[in-house]
Formats: sequence, C-alpha cells, structure tokens
Amino acid sequence: MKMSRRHFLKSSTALGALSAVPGLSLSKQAVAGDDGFKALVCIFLFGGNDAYNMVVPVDQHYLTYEKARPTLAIAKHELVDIGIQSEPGDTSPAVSLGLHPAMSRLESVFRDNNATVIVNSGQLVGPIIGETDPHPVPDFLMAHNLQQTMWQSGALNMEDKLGWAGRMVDSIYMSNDLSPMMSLNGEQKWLRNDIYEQMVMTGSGAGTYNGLNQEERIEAMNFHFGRQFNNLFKDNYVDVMSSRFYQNQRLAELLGTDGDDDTERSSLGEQLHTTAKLIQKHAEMGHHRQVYFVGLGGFDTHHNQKNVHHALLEQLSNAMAGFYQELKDINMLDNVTAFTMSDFGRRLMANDTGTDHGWAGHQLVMGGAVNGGKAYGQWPDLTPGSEYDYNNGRLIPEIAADQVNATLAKWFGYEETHLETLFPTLKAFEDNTLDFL
Amino acid sequence: MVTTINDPEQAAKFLYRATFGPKHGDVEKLLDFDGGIEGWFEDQFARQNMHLNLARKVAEETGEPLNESARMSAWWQRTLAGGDQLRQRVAFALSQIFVVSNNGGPGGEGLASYYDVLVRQAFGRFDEILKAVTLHPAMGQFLTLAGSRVKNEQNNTFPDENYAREVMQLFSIGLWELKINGQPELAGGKRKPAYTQEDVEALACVLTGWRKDKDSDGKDSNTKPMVNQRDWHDFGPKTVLGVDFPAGQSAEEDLNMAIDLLYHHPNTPVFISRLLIQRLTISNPRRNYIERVAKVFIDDGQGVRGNMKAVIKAILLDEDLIAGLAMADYQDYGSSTRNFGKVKEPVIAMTNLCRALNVKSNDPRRWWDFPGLQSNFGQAPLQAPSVFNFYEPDYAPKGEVANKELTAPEFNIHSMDSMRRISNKMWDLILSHRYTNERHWTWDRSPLENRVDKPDEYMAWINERIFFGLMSDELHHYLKDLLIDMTDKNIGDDRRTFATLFAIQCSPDFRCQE
Repeated sequence: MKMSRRHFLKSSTALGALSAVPGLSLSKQAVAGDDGFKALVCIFLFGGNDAYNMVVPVDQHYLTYEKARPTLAIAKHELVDIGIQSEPGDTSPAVSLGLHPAMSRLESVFRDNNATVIVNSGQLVGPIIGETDPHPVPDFLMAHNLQQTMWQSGALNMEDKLGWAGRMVDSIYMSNDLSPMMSLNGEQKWLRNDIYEQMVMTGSGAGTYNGLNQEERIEAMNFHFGRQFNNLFKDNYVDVMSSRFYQNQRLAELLGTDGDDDTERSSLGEQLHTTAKLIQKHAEMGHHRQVYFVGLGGFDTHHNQKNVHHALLEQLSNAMAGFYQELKDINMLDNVTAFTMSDFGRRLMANDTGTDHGWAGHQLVMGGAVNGGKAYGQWPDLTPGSEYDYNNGRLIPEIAADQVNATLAKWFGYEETHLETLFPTLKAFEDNTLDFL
Repeated sequence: MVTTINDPEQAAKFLYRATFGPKHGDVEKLLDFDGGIEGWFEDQFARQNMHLNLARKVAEETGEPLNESARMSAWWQRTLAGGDQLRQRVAFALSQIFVVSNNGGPGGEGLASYYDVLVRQAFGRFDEILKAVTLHPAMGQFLTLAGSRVKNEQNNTFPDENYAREVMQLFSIGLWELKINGQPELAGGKRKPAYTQEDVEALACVLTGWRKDKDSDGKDSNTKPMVNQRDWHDFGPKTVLGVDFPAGQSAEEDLNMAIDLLYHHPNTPVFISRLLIQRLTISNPRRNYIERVAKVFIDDGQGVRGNMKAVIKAILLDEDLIAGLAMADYQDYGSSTRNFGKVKEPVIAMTNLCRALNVKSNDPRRWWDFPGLQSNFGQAPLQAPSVFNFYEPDYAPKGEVANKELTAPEFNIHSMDSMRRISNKMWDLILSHRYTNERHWTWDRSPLENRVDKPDEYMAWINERIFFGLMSDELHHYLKDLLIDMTDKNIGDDRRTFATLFAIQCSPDFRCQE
C-alpha cells in the first residue's frame, strides 16, 4: 500500500482534534492485548568511532594496546572495569575488558548483564582471519559515506535501494497507519523499505504549522494536497508535503508539541528520550514492532582526539544510561534492544594528535534481552604485523557486521530460515547469528 | 550548442537557475540587455562582491565579534541585494562541492574568508580553485590537512589521510571511473574504482607539511593560505594513480603536481560538471547534456581546460533547458519532459521569496539571520553536517523517483520537521510586513493592499512579481476564486492577502522549478 497519497484534512483535524483519523482504531484492535512488543534502536556513531579507545583491556593485555598507540592510550587505572571478558579461542586468551573513563554510567548496566560488547567486528563479505583462502576485502573500506551505507544495507547489498531494516520489515506485519520506521537523525537508508514512509523528526518530536489557524489557509493546504501535476517533482512534492504534514499532526497529538520536563539533555540524550516516549505510546500508534534510528556525529577524530572523543563517549554513555533508566521506568527493558553502529573503527596507530580511518571496531548492545555477563568475539593481537593487521594498525574484523545484524533481525521476529536472503554474506560464514540475544 | 534567451518565459526560468531568484524588472533587463545573453554574462563575470569585508564591517559597527552571525549578515546581504547574482549563486553551488562547515571548521572569520575564495574563483580555472581550496586554512582545519606530517617511526604516527581521500572522492574524480557522459566504465559488468587505498595513502604523503600561517598577533591565521613546514613534509618518492612523484620535491612542488594530476584526470570534467548541473539547473540531466558540458570543461574552444566561465555558460544555456528535456526513466537514453526540473533547495526557495517581495532588514547596519537557516531549513551556507553536504547527489525518495532510477537530491532534506519549519519561517516572512524589531525583516505590502478588492489586478501583480509570469492557470484560478469568495464574505485585507501568500509559499509550484 502507499501511505502518502494523499491525506486530506478536515479543518478540525488541522486545528488539533485528531480523533477522526481513519485507521487508528482499527490498528489498535489489531494489537490489543499484544504484549510481545519489540523495538530495535540503532545508535549510529557518525565519522568512525575509535572503538579501540572505547573498549580497552584491563588485564596484562593492556601492555600491547599501550605499545600500539603510545600517544593516545588511556591510562590503565582510569578504565572502567565492567566485569566481562572476550571469548577465548585457539590462539586468543580471554581478555578482561574495561570502558573509556567517560563511560562510567554504563558500568551498572553491564553489571546487570543487560549490555555487551561485540569485539573486533566490522564489514566483511566472508571470513579472513584464520583462513587459508581468505575472502576479499569489501570495496572502499575507509570511505565514510560508503561504509555508512554498508552498515545500513548489508555488506553485499550496497546497490540495493532499501536498507536492511527496511527489507526486514517488508516481510513482517507491523502497522497499517502511522509508520513504525522512525529516524530522529535525518532520512536513513537503513529504514528505507517498500511499504512505509520513514518518519523523520528531530529529537524534540513534532510541532505546529503556524499559518494553519484560519479556515482559508487550511483550505489552501488541502487544495495543494489534492493536486496532480505532469511534472515529476511537483507531483511527488505533493506526496511529500501531505505525508509530512500528516505525520507531524499525528505525532503532535501523541507527544504534544512542548518539552515535557526541564531535564537538560545532550543531542543524543534528547533523541533517546523522545524514542522512549514513542515506545511508551506504541499501542496508541497501533504498533507491535518499531524501528528507530538515532545518531551522534563528530567521531572522525583526525585531530585533538583525546578531548573530543572523551566528550563524545561521555554523551553516548550518559544518553544510553538515561535511556536504560527510562525503559526500566516504563517497564519496556525486555522489549527494546539498542545497539551501536559506526562507519568503521580507527587505525591503532595515531596521526599527530588523532587517528585515521581503520576497519574493525567494537559495538555495544544494550537491553533486557541481551545475554550479558560476557563479551562476544575474540580479542585480536594488537601487535603491528600480526595476522589481524591489515596495514599500519587497521585491524581485520573477525565477526561480520551482517552476523550481528542477522542476530538483531532474528530477535525482532524475522524468519530465521530467510536470514541468508536478507544478508547474502552469511553464506560465507559458519554461523548466521551470534548468541548475544 | 549554446542557445539564446529571447522570450519572457525562458528569461524568467533562466533567472531562477542563474540567480537567487528574479527581482522586479530583472526579466525585462535580461531581455533588453546590451549584447543579449552574452552581454549579460560578461556583465555578471565582471561583478564581484566579497563577504569577509562586509562581515568585518558588521562586527565593527555593532561592536560584536566577527562570528557566524556577522558572516550570515554578509551572506544575506550579498544574496538578497548583490548585483553579482550569478557569481554568488555559483559560489553557493561550489560551497556544496568543496564543502567546509562550521561543524569542524573555524569560526565566522575563517568561513567568510573561505567563502570569498569560492566567490573570487567562481569564474576562474578549475585547478586554481582546487589549489586555493586546498590551501585555505578553513579547509586545512575542517579536513585536518593542517598539521599532517611525515610518518614518525618513534611515535608510530602517520600522515593524515583525510584530505587525500576526500579531495579525490568528492572534489575532483569521484569514486568510479566515468565515461564522458557520466556513465560508469564497466569491467566484467562491474564498476571500476577510480582509486585505491594505496593511492589515498600515497597522496596523504604527497600532501604532508602544511600548517596555518600566523596573523600579526601571533595566532594561527584563519584567512591566510597555509604555509609549508619543511620538517613535516615527506620527501620520499610516491606513486599516486600511477604517476610517480620523484623523491626530494618540496611540499609546494608535490602539491602542485597533485593538483595538476587531479585537474587533468579524465573523470574530473564529467564529475564536476554533473554536480554543478544538479545545483544550478535540473536534477536528472540527459547523458547528452552532461557530455556537452564536460566537453566544454575539457576544452573551452580556446584550448583551456576547466574554464569555469565557459562551463557555467554551457550549463545554463544548454539546449535541453529550452526544450524542457531531462533523462528518461530508468537512466535510459531518449528523453522525458515529465522528469525535467528539480525541487528547489529550501534555502533557494526562501531567497526566491525574499527577492520577489523585496525584503529589507530592519537593522540599518546589518542583516540578522531572521529565518534561522541552519536550524529551520535543513541547510545553510557552510553549515553542512559533514563533507558529504546536505544531500547525496544520487538521492532518490521512495516511490516514483526511486522506482524510475531517477534522482531528487533536495528531497533528502525535506523531512517531517524541515517541511514544517520551512513553512513556519516563510509564513513569518509573510507576516513581517508589519514587523519593526531590529532583528526582523520587513517588506512593503501596500501594492497588494491596494489591489485586494480588484481580483484581476491582484492576480496580475502576483503572477508578475512573485512568479515572474510562470504561475500555472490552475493556481491562478484557485487563488482568484479564493480571493473573490473571501471578499464576498466580507473578510478583511489581512486575511485575504495572508491566505493567498500562504497558499503560494507552500505550493508545489513555488517550491519546485522547471
């Protein structure tokens, strides 16, 4: 179905009374009593997070880390011990892991076993480490925009018009009214799908159209909503203006248009706070599944990394911890899984005061469904020239992003037997999914 | 073939593309220009208004620091009132290719100085633009070329690859090898990368050894071109894109050679031409249109490569624009009239309205950023979220545009929130005819008030002054009926003028262009 063409408003609708919106009560019935609600929340760290300074060994393996990046290493005694270890393997020992000192607020979440780290993961089209006949490396590994696309599409799905969350929901019944695909950080490929418009809002949610407080101006808007054009752009503009208007009205009704409390929040904190509010309203929106995208920029720390990265990780940690508490408060912890993505990890070796684009990194996963108490994946040998060293400290991932994505999709309700259709890369790997969920 | 502009409709369309929107009398002036369209171009080429001097003046007269607010004041004044419209419009387009942003770049002074590079070089030669952009301290800071130094074994540090990567990916050759018409070259059905990670690393070595210059107060300069720092430069031999850079070359020699390499790369003409076409004229140019412009980029007819005067002219006077032809569906050959045109950039839609209504600043010393571009329009000059600009050149919204393999980049920033905010700010501008606050703008509504009881005259004014003759019959009839209907109901002047103007600002007719 096509949601966008076309929404006509009654004057009263635009003026705030939305009870007459068709479809709403129907969707409500469809999910009445459904307590199996689930939401995925992607926290995208734009620019390429220096994951090897976000998660650091707190045991004797710290020394190899320090040696690899003497000018940037975090002092060992400052690290936040979160009581988890990487998985031991044939050649790698279990390594005890800590977080960057700016992330202390996440310690209790890890200690509650509600968060974990996916160690040394990244974009792969097949295994490389430990293979006698390793797979080729993905294209344009260190280019920001293409790598962002790869995380959002799947490693072999760059040419696909849709993102993986979008392809995932195309086969899951979700709602027939307000879109369950929501971005609080701009239009995103991850959410593109064949059924729903994505709802793109700011961290603060919805607002008002100031001119629409007189009949004749509402009437004028309505006139445009009903127009058809021979021109591609004008014709599609009508769809966009009507669906954006409609989405805004619905959200304004659900969330209100003013801030709800006086708490000071960072940009990411605000986005996750609004996400929590929307999750709380899922039944009113007729949703039993929701997908959210939030984001934080500034991770491209070529220069002056120490201060900049500290502030970013602090914002990330505080926002995630705040979100965790809100989910707890609304009793939604087990229904929501939040996870990070980032363009790429950064090179172990520094530039002058920063770092350059790398490859493998670590990602965080948080939620009541997470099998915490341990990290997933093996800690790589950080010695220059080791089998993990692609070149000059750009590390080769051992866990594929698509394996992590597939695990999230499976938890969300995607048919397990179809995972290899969703992520064709999986065929090259022994395990389609990991057991962190 | 370069066409000529000789009727009012074509003249109006031309002015929407080549300027920030026509003002009253511009269409007639263009049609009567001494020397015709050629004369108009020569006149525009000769005009040049800078931004930094104006921002400095604002700072001095108001006692404020030279901050982003002062820079935006200069930008609004040049954009709304400057006589060098073509230069300013091209500079704005270039600012979306050679992206520097306050998000990671320097403050207002450095950014205004950088914008001046684009203004000054808008009609220069491509290699000169690329060199000036590369060495500007704002770029040096934004893409961290300033301070990039030769590999240091002891500290285990390496040259910064940031600028080396983006100058190839975004400012010159692009990701994939291209044919002259913009189609990717294929090998075994697959696109061929235009460069490798090894090229990026080698170019990073080539570009080492630059730092910000010092101002007279001893602080790092954000306005003077960067200077080289001998001991930071990598003097070893390098190979970039198959070209050997001999050992022992200075930072300057290496840089010049790199600029020359990118300037002469076969991708550069078509890559840059297509981006400029999308910014200035239409979103989906036909292959032939791209090829015609790229050929002018390669040779302006006098043997000069990258002559931006010739390139801009070729873009704005292409025969497809007169014929109203764009690329056919599914990137096919042939042509389409339906696919012709573009969604206006939100900022451009706003400048169109401001210039049509002849908006003035209430503060005689300066322009305040009354619309609040960055927070409300999804874009603002030199305020992109990253080096990838406000939208991707190939962005296609879900539905017809994506299904037909076409592009409409500007839709990328027409989010739920932006659509509402843009509408609110345009509405605020409409209401501003009665605003007196120093930080607000205003315009003279009396011509509309004088005609509001005479629907035919009223509509004639609207069509001539706001649409420059391009208003559709459908909208014309709707607004006229609306006016008559409201008059019959004895509704007052305010509501009648507001209703028509509100309907215009949010109309697809006004927010898109053909």
